[in-house]
Amino acid sequence: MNNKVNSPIIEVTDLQTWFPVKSGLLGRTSHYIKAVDKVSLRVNHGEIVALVGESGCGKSTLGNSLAGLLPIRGGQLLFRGNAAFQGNRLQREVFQNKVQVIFQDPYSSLNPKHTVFEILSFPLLYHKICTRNEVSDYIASLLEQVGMSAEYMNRYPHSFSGGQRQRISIARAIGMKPDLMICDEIVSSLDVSIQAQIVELLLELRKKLDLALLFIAHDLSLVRALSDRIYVMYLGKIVESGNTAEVLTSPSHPYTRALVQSVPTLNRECPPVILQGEVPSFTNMPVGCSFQNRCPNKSERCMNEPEITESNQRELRCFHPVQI
Amino acid sequence: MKSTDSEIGTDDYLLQVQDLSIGVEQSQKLLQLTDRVSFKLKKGEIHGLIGESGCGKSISSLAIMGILPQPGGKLLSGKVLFKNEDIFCLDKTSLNSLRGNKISMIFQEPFAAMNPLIRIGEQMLENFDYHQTKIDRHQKIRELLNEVGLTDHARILQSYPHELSGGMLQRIMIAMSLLLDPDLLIADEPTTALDVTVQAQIMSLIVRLCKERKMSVLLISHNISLMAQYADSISVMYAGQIVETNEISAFLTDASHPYSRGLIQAIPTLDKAGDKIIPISGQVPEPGKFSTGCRFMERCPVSAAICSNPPPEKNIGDLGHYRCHY
Repeated sequence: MNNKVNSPIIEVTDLQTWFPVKSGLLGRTSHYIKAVDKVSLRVNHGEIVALVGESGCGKSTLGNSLAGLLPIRGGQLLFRGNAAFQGNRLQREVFQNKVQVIFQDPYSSLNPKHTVFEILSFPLLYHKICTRNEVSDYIASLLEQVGMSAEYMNRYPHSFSGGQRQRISIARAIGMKPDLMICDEIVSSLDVSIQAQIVELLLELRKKLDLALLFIAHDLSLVRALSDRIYVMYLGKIVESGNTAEVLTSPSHPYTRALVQSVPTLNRECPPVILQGEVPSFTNMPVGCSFQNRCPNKSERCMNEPEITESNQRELRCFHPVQI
Repeated sequence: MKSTDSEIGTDDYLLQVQDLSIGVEQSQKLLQLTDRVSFKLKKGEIHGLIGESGCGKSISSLAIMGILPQPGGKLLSGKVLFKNEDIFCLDKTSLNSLRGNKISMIFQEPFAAMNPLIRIGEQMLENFDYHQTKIDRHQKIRELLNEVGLTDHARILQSYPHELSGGMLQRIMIAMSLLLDPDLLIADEPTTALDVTVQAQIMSLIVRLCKERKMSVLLISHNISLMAQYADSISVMYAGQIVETNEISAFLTDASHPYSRGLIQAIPTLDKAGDKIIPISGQVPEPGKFSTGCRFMERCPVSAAICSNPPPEKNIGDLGHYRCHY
């Protein structure tokens, strides 16, 4: 059992997802937007891993790359130990539909012209998860698992609230019997009371179906309550990773600390600390450490790019970690 | 015409919303959206209005500007007193001079609030076309941009909205809303679309400006931690009604209404480590499907038979009150 727990479902090393920027009369590629640059990440069996960072840091690009939705430029992606890319070509059969993505906006991720039954049945029939005769029963059981009544099957998405739509998206994902679900900001458009309901549902499903989750979010408090391990991303690179509780209670990277300190708490005695400055744009990256223009610990060394160092199962990309 | 401190006594409020009920008429049926909403704002105070989406927060706040939902919006009862003048009794000209001049508003989505085809500078100047002032317009715009922490004036004023980040646009929105030195700023979810780091920047900016200018702020949000940090007092809205009002510190330590307690428990926080998040089960009822008794009854963990009668309003201390049988 222990062996199973520590075996990675998905593992990427030095993953690069770059987008070419074309300019000039001939439309030649002048440079690249390095949305994901040399990222190494692992999600183990049955584990909940969080990926956090500010908007525009490349979280969603990384999530989509992991699901094989985007072409990668370099690096390796192993799913259950098998390489998912041969060169730049995606070997779709490696995934066997075992990686499912749930998207942020429940209003645009469900086709408004199809009933819930149609939305849920298309992938099941296409991938031959079940036959035409079984599909109705199977969908009823899926809806029940996400806490919805089977009667809703013949309704259209517009008759549901955001929380219910997100439940339908979850039902669609678990219908494929995945090993890994990539949840891209799935609760950020929902109300707090509904957020908590969806989080509960995910935790319950994870236990029941033995799922691993990659939870992409920007809400640190939610991540704290939910995940086992965390990766903190800044401008396309992972800057710190480790056990969620440890990283968030004693952050080592100045950026992680800034993120943690800017979250408002219920205690007025400790107000949020403000991180000055703006995220530099991908087209105008500083040389060396990408956080240097906002970092309080900056020195001349930061003109060089820091490498990832590992100690106590915590990975860090910084020359001047926060002293505890 | 700027009012000074002496004009407003300590007992007077800048804004008083009294028993405000708003409905919409849809195919000859009247749908009541808010039910006897009341709250008050002192000068220089930040009052929080919290609740889930669809509970009537935004409708109530727009009504403060004299805007009713279209089409078919109706004022059913109540009044909005701004400096002891009922804004629903004002004629169009004085209402227009109130909006922008005395009361201004910032919205959730800075991108959606701007015209994508017009440069920032022109959008800021547009304000003055509707409100005559004697001040040097360009000078005033520069001053305000400095005040909200944007120093690269030339570039910003020449930019189109898409060329700037969400945080910068929200700063510009704030600067725009302050161009005419309003007494009341309505901030409708000002940081929901922004990152936490930017949220901290924007909120501290709003608080600083509020203190410096003795401006009142009506802060609308669903984030209770944000309220805990920045609001002085808070009103909780549920299904078109205010269910609890209190000072923020008293509210956080001892919330009286089960819904308020539910809201506090439903949010994960970084300091409440290891605590389980307790969701509020069920969903907010839709307008028109409210129960005649307590509207929170179906989702309430302590509901009993008595809850099918309308709950009484009870006082907490001098300032607070809540609406519950228990």
